[in-house]
Amino acid sequence: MRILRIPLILAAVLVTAASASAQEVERTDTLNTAYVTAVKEKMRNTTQTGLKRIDGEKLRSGIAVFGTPDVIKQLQVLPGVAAGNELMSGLYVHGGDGNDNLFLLDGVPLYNITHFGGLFSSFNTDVVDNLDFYKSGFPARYGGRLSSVVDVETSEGNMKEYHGNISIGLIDGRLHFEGPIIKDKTSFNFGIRRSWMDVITTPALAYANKENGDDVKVDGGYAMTDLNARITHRFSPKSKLNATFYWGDDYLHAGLKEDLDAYMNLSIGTRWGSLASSLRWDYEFSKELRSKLTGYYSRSGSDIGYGFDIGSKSEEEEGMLQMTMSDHNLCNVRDGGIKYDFDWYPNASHHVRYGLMAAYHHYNVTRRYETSQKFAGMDKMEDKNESGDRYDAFEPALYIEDEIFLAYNFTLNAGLRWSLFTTGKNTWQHPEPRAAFKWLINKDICAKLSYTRMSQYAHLVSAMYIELPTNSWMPSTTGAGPMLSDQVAGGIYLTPGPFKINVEGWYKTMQHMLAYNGANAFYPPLVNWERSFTEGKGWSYGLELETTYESPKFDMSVYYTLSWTWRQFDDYYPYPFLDRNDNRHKLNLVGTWRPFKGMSFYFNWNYHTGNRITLPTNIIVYDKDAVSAMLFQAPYNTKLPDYHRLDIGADFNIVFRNDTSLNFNFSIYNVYNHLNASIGMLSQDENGEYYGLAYGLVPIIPTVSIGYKF
Amino acid sequence: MKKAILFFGLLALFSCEIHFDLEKVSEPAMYVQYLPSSEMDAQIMVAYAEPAFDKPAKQPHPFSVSDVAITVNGNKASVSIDTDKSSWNRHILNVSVPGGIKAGDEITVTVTGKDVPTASATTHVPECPVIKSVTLTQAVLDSSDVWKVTMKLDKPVKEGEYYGIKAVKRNEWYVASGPDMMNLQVDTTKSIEYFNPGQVADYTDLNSLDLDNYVSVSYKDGFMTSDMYMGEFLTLLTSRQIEGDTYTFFANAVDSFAWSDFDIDFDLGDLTDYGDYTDYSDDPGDWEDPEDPEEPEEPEIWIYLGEKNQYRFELYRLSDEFYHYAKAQYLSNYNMLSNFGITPPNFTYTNVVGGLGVVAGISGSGTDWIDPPEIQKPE
Repeated sequence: MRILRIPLILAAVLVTAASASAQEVERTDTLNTAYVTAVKEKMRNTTQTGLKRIDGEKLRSGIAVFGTPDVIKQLQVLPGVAAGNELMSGLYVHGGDGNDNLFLLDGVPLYNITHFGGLFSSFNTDVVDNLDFYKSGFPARYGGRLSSVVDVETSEGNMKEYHGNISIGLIDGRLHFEGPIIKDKTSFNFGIRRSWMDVITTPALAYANKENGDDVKVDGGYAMTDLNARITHRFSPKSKLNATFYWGDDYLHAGLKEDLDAYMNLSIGTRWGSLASSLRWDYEFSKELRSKLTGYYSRSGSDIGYGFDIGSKSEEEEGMLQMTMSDHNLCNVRDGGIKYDFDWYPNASHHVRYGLMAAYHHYNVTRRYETSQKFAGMDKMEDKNESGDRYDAFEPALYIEDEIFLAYNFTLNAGLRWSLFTTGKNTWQHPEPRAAFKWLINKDICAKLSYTRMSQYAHLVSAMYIELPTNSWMPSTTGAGPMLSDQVAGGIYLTPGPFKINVEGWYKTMQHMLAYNGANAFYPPLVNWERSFTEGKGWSYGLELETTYESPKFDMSVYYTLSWTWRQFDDYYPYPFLDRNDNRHKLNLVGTWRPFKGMSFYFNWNYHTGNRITLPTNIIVYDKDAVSAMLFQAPYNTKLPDYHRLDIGADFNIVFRNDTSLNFNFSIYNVYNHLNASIGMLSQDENGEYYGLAYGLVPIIPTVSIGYKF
Repeated sequence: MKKAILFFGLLALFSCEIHFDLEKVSEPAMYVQYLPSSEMDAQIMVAYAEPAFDKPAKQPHPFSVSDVAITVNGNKASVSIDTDKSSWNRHILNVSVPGGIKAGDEITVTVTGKDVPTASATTHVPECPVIKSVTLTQAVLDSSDVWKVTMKLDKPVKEGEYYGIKAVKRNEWYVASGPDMMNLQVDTTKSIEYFNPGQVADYTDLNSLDLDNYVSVSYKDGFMTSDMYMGEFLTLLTSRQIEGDTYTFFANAVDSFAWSDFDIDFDLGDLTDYGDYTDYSDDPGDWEDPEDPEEPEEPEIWIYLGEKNQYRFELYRLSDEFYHYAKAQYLSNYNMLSNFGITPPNFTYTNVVGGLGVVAGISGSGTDWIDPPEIQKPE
């Protein structure tokens, strides 16, 4: 009962507050809910399997942990997707590895899509127009990653009026502004998001430093920033130019200054993030032929630095010792590319898409080390060193796909993508066939089947499963070749009345997967990195059920997944084993209730079978009370307790006479405070009995955000 | 206020403990370790491995080995059982194979115990390439002076093969000490050190840009353990790290004292005497006893005279079973973060059917002691 009190009281307060303003409120869909819907007609009329299209408005009304809607956390709710560690931005699609998702922002591939160790994704929902999420049946125009495609398109700015919004949440503040530069010709859309934790920590540290006196000063802070901008210019109804820009940055720093008999300055600074820019020209040659020509540049990387400056300062010891050191580890990947895509309708029975792309990748890891030492009576000794490695790669690709209307109720999509990757002395090329077939059984039922092959030439070098700035991307090498996947997916899609029921199954194999197999380290080796990885394979299969009910006042979706995910890495275990994210059952209930205009409530209940960990299975006791050896029979041999959590929230929108509005969002993450097991180990009680001991790390998190829209 | 914060902090910490039942996935089993080699007569270790989900025994477990059968290429070898008195339930078995074990031999072991399933395993003793030459060149890597070691083999390695390497440094250190300049005595300290090839910076360093990511176990007296305090590191390699017949690595074994300004050029020729060589790495007497109040008297004059280092390298060809087991041993000991679900998992490889442990062939090839080239003072 204790755990229910807080949400009940909060809900009562919210309903009371909302009732007062309900007369003036217009109906909007700004609920913070995980409510995600596909476009019904599109689903029935295309051959596409495994696609979710989410429009920007739905994204902005999604889950708002810490008061900020998050794109990735909304995708984690969907069937066929495992989330991995709680609160993180893991996206393990159809048994994938989490580093095999293609993230496109306005057509530009992004490597780093998270902030703060994966707590937030980099996509600012204020500027997002729509998102396409593919889990299977990948169209031939996409390539380069094995498991999913997340294609995010930002909005064009309003061509007629200026609009915007300002909002502030528990962690960050956001500003969005759009409007015409030249009315009906040119527009801009601009969004910025910045965390404001340092606004609290800076004065807190200043107070602490004042208390400490002048001799010891402590410094530190963290800030994340996202900036999105888009300018659109219409030359004519047939010709349009888009320039987009994204910059995401995380900066974590800490320092200590001591000014006593000796002086000491210590500092740690880590900066990581991404930059993406593109220029796209959309042109309509005729009603039958349209094209998009895109040039882009992106950069993603990190700079991890630390250093110190120490020495003696008293008169008798002056010059006795002076030492400075700075060490920076930099890694980044830069991409420059061009794409030319065509849409062609030669006749009523064909829709042909074709195009080509070429990308240049530059991967760079560098360590800059500088030190200076001076001892009494000796010359100053200095050492400066820069070492590292660089890889250049060229990746062209061609594709063609044809949606062929064979008959009224039969449609075939046949496609082929050919990709090539050359770096150093190595060149790989892969033809990637894609095929999809749709049988429209009647107006409410259709069946689909698809096959896709995908290749991936970039690898995430990471010794850990969490997003850290120490992670870096590297190209395929002789010792770690391109990864390949083959996936067959099929399903039945029904639309009886207000319901939509999709049942999809998949079977996917993944070749040349990589797993870290080196020493325990936060920072894996970046030169000859492949020596620390072992190659293996994975396969996954399962069934997804998606049922959605939609009405003007109430929407509800039920997502269920039954799946198996296997791995086999002969170098460290020669038999198949279940993956750590093998969540056998996953169930999500997502609902939205709009009782009045401008007021909406949401809930989102998550359940999945526990993640897997590795515990010892046998113990050798050489002597009394002395455990001499613990033996582990297989990786991930133990299942953590099942995971479940309920989130609720409410949106209240007050519209003023000048068409501006004020929005209040209240969200409670994990409302019944169920501490889900995040880590686990073997433990013994006082009688010597063994039991599993896990720790839950994420309690109830209530958040509030306020926004003003104009 | 601080007490209140501490109280609520502890409350929050303990409230997030979750106890859960363990699935019973194991039974009592025998642990068998046998590493037959063409270089030495290896022994067999057999131990009782109780299920982790049962209450552990508080008394010595009545475990005994009923029978052990070993065949070499189908011919039975003789085995004598000698129980390890220092342990409740571990037996060390001596094995005698007429004619010895050779590369290419197939070894099968079957162990029958009381109240545990019979355990058996098969392995092959692989053939190790012979080290033709080893060259040491002074190099700078990651701001450290290192030896670049180039090892030539008599034949190229093949893809998918596994290797191990032991790198040994023998050091003789000369100092003159005494109460005054007229009464100096030359002392010689001799030691032996096993080091990880490729280890340049400390592995706790964030990004050492270490060229060889080392993973080691201890392989000594025919047994393998992940306990590094046992010494004699065997660093694991795969064929990917060896290019054809050449293995190149960096050794963090250049002594910076060698070009110290305080160095006094003595003729050390007469002092070199390997006759009283002592391996201090395993001598427990080398450890300082904190309870011993007696401290050695410090000489008033102490002069560093110089030192002499020599190196020796041993290359081992490992059977697949040896490599997989050794790697798993290392990771299970040094990958504690896997308990937090943020690094790859711990596990114990086994090729023993009906039990646990490893039966794995190994063969080796070594060099004599190598004198390094004269160390150049950095610019």
